Amino acid sequence: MDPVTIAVAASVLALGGTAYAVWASRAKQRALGGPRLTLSTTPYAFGEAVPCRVSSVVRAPIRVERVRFQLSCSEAVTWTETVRRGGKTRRVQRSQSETVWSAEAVAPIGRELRKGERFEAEADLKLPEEGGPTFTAPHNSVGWQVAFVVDDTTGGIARGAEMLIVEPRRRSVVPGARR
Amino acid sequence: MTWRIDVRVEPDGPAEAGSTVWVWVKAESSEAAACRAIHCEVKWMTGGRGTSDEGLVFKKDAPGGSSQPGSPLTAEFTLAVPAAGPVSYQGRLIAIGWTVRAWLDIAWATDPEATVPLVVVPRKG
Repeated sequence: MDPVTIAVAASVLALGGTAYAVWASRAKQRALGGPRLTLSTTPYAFGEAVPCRVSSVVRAPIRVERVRFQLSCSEAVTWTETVRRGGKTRRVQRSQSETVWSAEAVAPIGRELRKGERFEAEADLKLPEEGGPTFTAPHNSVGWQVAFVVDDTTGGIARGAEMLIVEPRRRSVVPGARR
Repeated sequence: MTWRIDVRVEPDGPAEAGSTVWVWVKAESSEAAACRAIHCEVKWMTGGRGTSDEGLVFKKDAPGGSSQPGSPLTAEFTLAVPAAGPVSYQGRLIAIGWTVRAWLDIAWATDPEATVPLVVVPRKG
């Protein structure tokens, strides 16, 4: 077999493999019923716990190992640079973002879910005692989000994320207080 | 002739978002002189990698007058720090700082000014 034929065959196999992986992932997400993340829309204060809940109604039998939740804070900026090339100058928009804080929690499941069963996973993630509250300006922003990943034995089969508002407020210290 | 301007913020120290602070401006000239008005503005500004953003939170004027050594002009401004902030912040890509700036309106001369930083912190509760 000549090298060109081998290369074409390898490409076709790779594309086929990728397409199968995408199809299998979507099939698993559908089987799980497209889980959705629920968060309170009320602004949070620093030091507060953020109760996170993922739920769906299972459409086809599927095994789920765990749900991973991640609470994170990211900064994002944009700026303009003047680039000179070949005697010409042009202005180029640049952007950068960086996760500056994150915390994770895992809700173990470890079982086969039946069709029609309600799938639920919960975890509390605590906001830090201090940091940057939600901030939005034309070129600078600080944002908070909760993301989740539902894992089976092979890895993530469903994922999603929601933004939350963290206001410039520190939690009142009331032992046992919960939203 | 020179002017000396002192800007003081009370209470001293960080101001909580949603609180009220008072800005005191004292201006004294090195010789008898007139000032048409005392201006004060408070704003936040971002620093860091991105293009700077800023927000004017407060701007007010107080009547001027005559000053001479030992007889300063004074003005008091009341500032309601917004509950929504932004608060002072030092992140990795973004920094947010507040300033209180006061300046005098002097006829036929450069307007003297003074600026002091203000630290705004999250409120409790």
